[in-house]
Amino acid sequence: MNRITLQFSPRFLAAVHPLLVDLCKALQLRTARDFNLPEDDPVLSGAWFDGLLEALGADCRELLGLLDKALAAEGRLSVTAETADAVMRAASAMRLHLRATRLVDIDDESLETGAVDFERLKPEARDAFAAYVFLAGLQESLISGMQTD
Amino acid sequence: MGASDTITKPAEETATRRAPQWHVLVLNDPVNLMSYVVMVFRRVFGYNREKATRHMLEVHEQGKSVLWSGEREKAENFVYQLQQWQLNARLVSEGK
Repeated sequence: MNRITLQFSPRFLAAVHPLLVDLCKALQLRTARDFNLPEDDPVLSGAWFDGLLEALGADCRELLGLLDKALAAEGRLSVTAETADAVMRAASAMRLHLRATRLVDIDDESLETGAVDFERLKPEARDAFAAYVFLAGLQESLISGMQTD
Repeated sequence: MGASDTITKPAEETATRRAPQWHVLVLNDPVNLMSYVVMVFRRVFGYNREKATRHMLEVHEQGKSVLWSGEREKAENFVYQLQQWQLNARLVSEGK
């Protein structure tokens, strides 16, 4: 895969964009999950955490930058092989954060299968679920675009 | 070699010192996609699709899978990479 171009509804992108910006801000301050760090070495543990947080921030900024460009290009999102990894990692972190903060009322099975009654969700959960599904679709498109066997 | 030819070596000669093993453990999470987890295992460990899928299914069905075992430094590196990919990876020492 040298480059993969995906077409999204500009209206949809504009609707989820503010939430993704919020998620990116939140993930500058904390990791998407509590990681198990080496407990017997505080120096290594601190450097480990700082490294993860810094990498996560860079990944999220990469994804947001691409979304900004897509908004300016009528929903056409273009991802190169060099940026695909960062985009997929950021999407994963954002989905984890959404799950832990805004989609806590939905059980795991419903989220995994997508069997969620959108109409019955609270408005704030609708936005979160839409972003959650969008990020999964983005990941799946990139993974299938990268497959060589 | 017959039984009568058996030579018993002193314990200090036969005992070999082995560095403690460290395991790279991945726990299940309900968020990351199966295809994503397979892709990450292939990237990080260089596993083929079949092996990566087997580990992913083990994580999914049994809640965890040991992806790699060996010396600590290398295991730490693997865990760090998996955590960068947002997987629930842990470094576990032998016997724990």
